[in-house]
Amino acid sequence: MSLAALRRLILIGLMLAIGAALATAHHVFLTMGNLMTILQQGSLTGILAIGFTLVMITAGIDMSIGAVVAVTSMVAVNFLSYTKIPVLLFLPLSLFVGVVVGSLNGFFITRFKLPEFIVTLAMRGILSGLALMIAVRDSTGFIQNVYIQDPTYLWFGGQAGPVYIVTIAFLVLAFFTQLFLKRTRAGTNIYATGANPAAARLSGINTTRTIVGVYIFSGVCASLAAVFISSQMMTAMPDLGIGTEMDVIAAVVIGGTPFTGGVGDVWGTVIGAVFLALLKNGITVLGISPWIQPIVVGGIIVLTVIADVWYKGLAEAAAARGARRARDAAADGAAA
Amino acid sequence: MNLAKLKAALRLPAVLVALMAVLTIVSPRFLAIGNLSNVLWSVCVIGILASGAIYAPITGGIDLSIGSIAALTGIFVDLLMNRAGVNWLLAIAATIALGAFIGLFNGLITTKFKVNAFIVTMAAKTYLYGIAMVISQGGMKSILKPAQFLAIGGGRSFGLPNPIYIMLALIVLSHILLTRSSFGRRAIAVGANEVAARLSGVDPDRTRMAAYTVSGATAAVGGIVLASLTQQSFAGAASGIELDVLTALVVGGTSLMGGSGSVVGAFIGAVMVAFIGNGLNLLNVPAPYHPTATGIVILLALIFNMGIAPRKRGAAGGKHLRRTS
Repeated sequence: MSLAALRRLILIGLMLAIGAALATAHHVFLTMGNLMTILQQGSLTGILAIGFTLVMITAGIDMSIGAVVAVTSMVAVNFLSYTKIPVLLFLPLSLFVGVVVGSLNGFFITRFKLPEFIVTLAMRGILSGLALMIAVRDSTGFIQNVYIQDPTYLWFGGQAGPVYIVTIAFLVLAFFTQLFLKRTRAGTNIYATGANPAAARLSGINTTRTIVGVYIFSGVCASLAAVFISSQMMTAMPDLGIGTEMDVIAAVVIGGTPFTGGVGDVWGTVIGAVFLALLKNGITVLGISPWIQPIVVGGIIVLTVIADVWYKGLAEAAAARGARRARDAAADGAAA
Repeated sequence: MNLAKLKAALRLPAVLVALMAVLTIVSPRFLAIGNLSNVLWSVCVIGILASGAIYAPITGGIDLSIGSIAALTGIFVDLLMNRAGVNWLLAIAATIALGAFIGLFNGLITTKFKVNAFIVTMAAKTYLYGIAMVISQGGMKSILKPAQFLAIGGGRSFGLPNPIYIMLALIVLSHILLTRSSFGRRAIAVGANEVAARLSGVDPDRTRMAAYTVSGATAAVGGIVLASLTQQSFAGAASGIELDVLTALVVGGTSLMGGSGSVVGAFIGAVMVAFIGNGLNLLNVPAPYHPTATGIVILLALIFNMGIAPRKRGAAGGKHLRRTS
């Protein structure tokens, strides 16, 4: 069994164990409504995390996603408040926010060879200001929390049967992104660019296009998440989503995509997102102070990364032992 | 000092003077002593944090937890003085020790487990914020005594607010540490070329740990000054300040790839960013535009600095802030 699969099994086992513990601890946990809420919360983080996974596979990082959520939702509520344009017409336009931001991120990173982290962090600052600037204001000039009433828009936050629309969207997106990563040439290019950019370039891969591409995808995922988040909350604030980067990073890291690039996949991220949502739900269900949540999120990132490093060292030692044994066996065979 | 070096050294001050000239032309109020002193005062916490936070980027890492450390230590010093009744000087010493310890812990995880510095410190930023929330019960507390403590941030000496002296002292100290001490030399060596540094007898891990320890300690000093200055402590006190510090560092010519940096540059960078904010205020530009302006300044400074800072994105490059080994 591959290491990644084993890691994933451990994670699912851990998830079941935590679930079982929570179920015995509190009767609310195992209700249909609560389980679906966990999936819904996991999906909201997860949609962001899918785009983020691709960025991380190229060994990059995108700190601007939270601010993209804010700007996109502000664009959407502007359309809702000031125009009569139907939702299905302006939604693609809102998603365009992610395309523009992703292109800019990719441009600065590839054209000027700047660190991904600082470019996207600067972009985050720019966008968080922009979200405040374009926020819907009342007649006295104060920022207004728009109450979203459009039924088409609210559909995105609704349910199909017991399952939330966002969960379905998340799984569909995950499926196609995984397919894209593993079965297309562009997907392979992403892995190659992350594993060794110089080698990728030398073997004829257009790494610039690949990198710009993943940032655009990450931006679009963030814009998409913005629609779901704002329709679920039925309102949007100018700081909506800012700060969710941490949850997203946690989901991706738990899912087994390392910061070093070249490795990782979407299904891991799906598990990571649900795992994180389960933990957070557990904190709420057990009635522990919500202030513990950041401690858990930050702590689990550090623990996962440390565990991964330890695990990788173990695996490398095992591989080295195996190789030595094979070499010895071959030498013995030659001697005999 | 040869001519090229002199030109590089004068580049930033020249930009600062040019910026001041432009701001003076667009707003005559800019050059008033009161306004300049205000700007210097508003930048003091950023300057204090930057004086120590610079060592992480110089060694090729980054410290994003300084804002949370500052908030946490602000709460901690208040609890020590006003809940536990510890003498204010002792409380300050213990608080700086706490900051240094948090920094050391960051450094320990980064080096011993070979984890990317920015993820370690960003995770630290998150959980330290949570800890600050828990010990402050999520509330905001006024600090009303002791008077000596409040004088640190609120008092004036020789006509200028005290925090300005603290900032200038730390900047000078850090400048000497970076340019004249063996620790400064080692930090630059580790950031410039870890392998070469190790081969010449420098322990990269210990140097890095020291860098994060210094960063944590100055963050604690910043937290103390901030708590004393605002006379309050809460978990969100300095949230996001790491971005301002980073801006100051980057504008000041510190390379985020490691191996180069200037404390004086960081100070000028902080003042410049404050001038831009101040200029926007004087021009009646609404507050929402400020983060946007800061973000644009970072990007421009990065692009502008590319000519100065050594390029280190060769075959092994393409990875942000990544260790070479």
